[in-house]
Amino acid sequence: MDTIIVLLVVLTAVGFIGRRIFLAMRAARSAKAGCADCGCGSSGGSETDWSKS
Amino acid sequence: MSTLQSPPPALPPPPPDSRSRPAGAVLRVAIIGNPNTGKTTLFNALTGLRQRVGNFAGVTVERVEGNFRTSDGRKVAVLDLPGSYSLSAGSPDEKIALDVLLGKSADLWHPDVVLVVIDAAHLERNLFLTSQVLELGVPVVVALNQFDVAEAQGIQIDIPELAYELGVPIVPTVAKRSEGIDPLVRALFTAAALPPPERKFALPEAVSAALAPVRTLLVDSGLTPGASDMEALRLLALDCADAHLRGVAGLAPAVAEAARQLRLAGFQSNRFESEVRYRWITEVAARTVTRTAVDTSQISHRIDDVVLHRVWGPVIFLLLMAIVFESVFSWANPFIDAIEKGLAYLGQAVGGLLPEGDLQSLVVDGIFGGVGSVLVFLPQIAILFAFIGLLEQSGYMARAAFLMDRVMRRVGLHGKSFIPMLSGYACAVPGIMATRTIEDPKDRLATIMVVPLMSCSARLPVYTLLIGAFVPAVHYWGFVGLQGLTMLSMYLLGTVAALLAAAVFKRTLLKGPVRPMILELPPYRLPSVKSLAVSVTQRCRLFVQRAGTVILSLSIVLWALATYPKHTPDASLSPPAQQEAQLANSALGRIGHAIEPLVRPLGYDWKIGVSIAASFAAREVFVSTMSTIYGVGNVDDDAVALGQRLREETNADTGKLVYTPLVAVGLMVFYVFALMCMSTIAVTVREAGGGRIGWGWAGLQFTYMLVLAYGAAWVVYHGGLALGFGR
Repeated sequence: MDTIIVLLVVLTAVGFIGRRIFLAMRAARSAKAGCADCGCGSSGGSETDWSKS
Repeated sequence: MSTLQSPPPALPPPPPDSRSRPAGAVLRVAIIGNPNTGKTTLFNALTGLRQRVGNFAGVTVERVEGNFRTSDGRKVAVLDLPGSYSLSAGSPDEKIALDVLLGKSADLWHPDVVLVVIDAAHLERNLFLTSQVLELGVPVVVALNQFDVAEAQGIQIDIPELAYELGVPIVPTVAKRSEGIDPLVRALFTAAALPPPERKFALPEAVSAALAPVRTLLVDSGLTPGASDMEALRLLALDCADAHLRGVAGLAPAVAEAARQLRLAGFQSNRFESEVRYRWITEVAARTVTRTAVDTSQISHRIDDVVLHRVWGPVIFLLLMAIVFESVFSWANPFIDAIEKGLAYLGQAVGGLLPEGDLQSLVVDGIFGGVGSVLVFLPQIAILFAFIGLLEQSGYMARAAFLMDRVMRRVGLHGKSFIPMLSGYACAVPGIMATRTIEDPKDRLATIMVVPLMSCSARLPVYTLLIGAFVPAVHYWGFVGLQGLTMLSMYLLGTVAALLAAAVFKRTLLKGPVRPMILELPPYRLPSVKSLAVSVTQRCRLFVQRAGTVILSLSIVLWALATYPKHTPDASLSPPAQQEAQLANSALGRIGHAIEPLVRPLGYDWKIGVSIAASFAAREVFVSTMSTIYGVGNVDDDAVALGQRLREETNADTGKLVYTPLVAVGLMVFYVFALMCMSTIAVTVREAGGGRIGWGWAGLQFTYMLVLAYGAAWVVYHGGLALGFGR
């Protein structure tokens, strides 16, 4: 059981890192992407989310 | 202040007709104004968002959107455009503003109302942009911001008269105290129902006739008559058709012909727009502004005499920086202790719930060891950014930019490059974005190429770990600490390297003329505690978020690589030797041994090598990888223990210490120069033009920084050995 949990956690982490790389690559390709779109979460960008209003 | 408490905004004469808005429709408002007029503070006050605010120009360089509901439930969408002195569209950020206001932006909406933010203490200069916006055919509201500062300086503005002259509602505001916000919101809805304003001055007959063909072409291309009037005058100043109007057939020759006719009529075509607008501005100011008291900005001038002095200025700057970095070390310790104890308690509690085995090791060594070893640096991040915020908001950073301008010009960079470089101290990504304020493409590219050399907050944990472990906490003259000085020297090293690299780029690949910078020095202001708290909280939130996402994921993966495949232990070995053998035979150990020959010339063993390799994803991972590798991630250990372990680590073959102060300094120097951040590479690709060109520049950036890092670390190590250090 422990081994399965460890495996799942590690795979999730790998997936997350893969997603980050994908987001960074997509931001590099898109001229429209804003600062917040690269996935670094560093600064700026649009905070608009009409679903919250 | 009484003006602010009177709610109804000053309104122009009643309109001849009115525009109706469908009930429930979202009111779209674009905020524009000169740099440093408080646009972002006003945006934050309106929307309740927390965009970064600074007391210098160029903080907002890309689109920032927000929305809010009025007390009666009406929706308002707000777009904070980059600060701009005019709509001349010289730099990428000014082009964004012009695109939006002309309704030509592909991905941003055209506003229903434009909110022009004017610095009430500098009305005349701010009216230039205002006069252009008034002609765009969109309803306008003017916020006379920083009204309290103008009043304190003895500047009195006749608001009803100014509203009459401009033909739009005017509301006095003090955005940093959220004063005047309700009347401003009411004015936005009122203005949306009014017809758009028109040009407030008449052109000479000859000029109107010369511009008529240009205007006709622009109207035919889809611009409103008002926007066409503004564009015709603007293009005359530029003497060409710019990117916005490239699709309009015959426009360039029409503009050239209009310019020729103006010259024949005795006008200077390229200066005509500014002359005619400033003539109108002077007349308006004469009718609306009175100055009754002594200008208190004299105090700012007196302070500037000292802080901008040729000799004392740089001395004060360095002294301030030394105090900042010393405080980062000395003030953070009690908080670091508290976080360490908290994490240790939590680790023990969680680890105790799990049976001994891989899952417990994952939680204790991988998660608590990895993420915890990075999280303990949170107090230092908070203190550093509190100081940076203080210096920014007080207006000192603009002085620092002025001091740096001389140096920037010497290396061939535009003075405006300093602001992106300054942003690079926080993170290279917003720093590279901030280069959008630079008009010249070569200056901009040169700045993009060097911004990642500025020491960002991700390097702080690496510096702190190594300085804490290898630099003694001694003080000179009672207050100058060696640890703080070492960290300051790392920041200075990055800055000097950035300037030298810029000089090389500007003299080789990106050769171009050096342009003078026009820098507005804002008056000194008492920083707002709220803004400061917001900026520090935001930076800390990002750090924790990064630790909880990127660092956490990488720590888990690195733990797995350090744990598997399992090695059958040799029973004759001692437990520590068995642990070492397991680590050496793990995937991480094998990778480390494979890359060891590359890092050996720098004095590093495979463990440092593999930690460096892992930190190419994110620099902080160096600390978490070290923590995982050395197995000090158990719940009783902490960053100090990691430092202790590093100090005591010996080479099994030679019996010598692996880490000497010389190795530590070499490592820090490596981290000063190396580009180890995926996000920075991605943003460089995009901002350098995208596609192959963008990848080419990003590749060059990564390579030159890696060569620089390796070369500098090699020089430090071997130079140090030759001088007798490192024994």
